[in-house]
Amino acid sequence: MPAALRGDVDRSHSNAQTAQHALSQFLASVELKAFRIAQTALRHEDDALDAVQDAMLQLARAYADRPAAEWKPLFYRILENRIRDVQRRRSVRNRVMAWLPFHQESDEADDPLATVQSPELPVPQRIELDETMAALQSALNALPQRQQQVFLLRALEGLDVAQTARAMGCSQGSVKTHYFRALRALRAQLGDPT
Amino acid sequence: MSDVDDKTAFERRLVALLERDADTTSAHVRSRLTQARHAALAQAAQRSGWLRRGLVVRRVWMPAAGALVAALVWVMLLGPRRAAPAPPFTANAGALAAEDVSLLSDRDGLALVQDGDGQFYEWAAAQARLAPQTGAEAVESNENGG
Repeated sequence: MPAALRGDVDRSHSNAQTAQHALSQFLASVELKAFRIAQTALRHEDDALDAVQDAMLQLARAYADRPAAEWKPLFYRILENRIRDVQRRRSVRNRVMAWLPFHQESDEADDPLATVQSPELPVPQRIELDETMAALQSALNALPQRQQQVFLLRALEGLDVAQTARAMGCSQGSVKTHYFRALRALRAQLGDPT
Repeated sequence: MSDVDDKTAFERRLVALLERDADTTSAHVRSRLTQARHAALAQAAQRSGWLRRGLVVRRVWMPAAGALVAALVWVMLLGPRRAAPAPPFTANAGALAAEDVSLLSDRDGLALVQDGDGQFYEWAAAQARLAPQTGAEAVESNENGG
C-alpha cells in the first residue's frame, strides 16, 4: 500500500476511534434518562429498554458520522419514533387479543437482577424517594403524551426549546405551549408552595 | 417560559427528583442498557471498518480498474488493425504455376541464348523435346521454329 494511502487509512482509523469514543460517552450520558423517558411513556420496563436499544442502534448505524452536537436531538427523535411504534403495536395487539377467548399475560421468568436496587441510598431515604417518585410518576402519567415528552426532554434531559422541537418534530412554539401546560398540570397535581 | 438556567424552585425540585430516580435505576436495567450501548458501538465500529475498506478500494482498486478499462478501450478502438488472413496455398497454386510458365516462356530469355552459354540451352531444349511436351513447351518450340 502506498505511504500516502497508508497515512490516509491511519488517519481515518484514528478519526474512527475518536468518534467511537465520543459516541460511547454520549450513549452512556443519555441512556438512563432515555430509559426513564421511555418508561414514562410506555409504562413497561422491557418495552422501554427495547426502545432505547433500538434508538442507540439506529443512531450508531445511521448518524454516527454526524457532528456530536447533533446526536442528542437525533437520538431523542429516534426514541420518540420508537415509542410511538411500540404504542401503535400495543394498540393493535390489544385490539386483536380482546377477541381471543383465552388471553393471558405472559409470565416471564424473574430475573434476579430485576429486584436489585442501587445500594447508594439508605432504606428510609429510598422509601421516601420511592413515594415522592411514585407521586411524580402518577402525575406524569396523567399528562397527555406530548406534554409528558416535552417536559421530560426539557427538564430531565436538559434540551433547550430548539433541540426539543427538533427531537419532537414540532415547532418551538408548540414546545413552549406543551411545557407550560405540563408544568401547570404537575403543579396542580403535586402542589407547589412556591 | 423558563429556560434551563432560570427554572422555578418547583421545576428544580422536579428535575432533582427525576435525576435522583434515574441514578437509582436497578442493576438489571443498567446491565441491559450497557449491553445495548456495546451493541450499538460494535455496529458503529463495523460500519467505520467498511468505510475504511471503502477508502482503500477507492484509492487503490478504482484507479487500477480505470487504467485497465482505458487500456481495453484503446486496444479496441485505436490498436493496430489485424491483417486479413492469407489465402491458403492450394487456392493460389494454379496461378503461381502459370506465372512460372510465363517466366520460362519470356522472350527476354532469348537474349541469354544469344549472349552465350548456348550449349546448355541447346541441351536443355533437346531434353525437353525428348520428354512429352507441355502446352507451354510446345508454344516455345513453335516460337523457336521447331
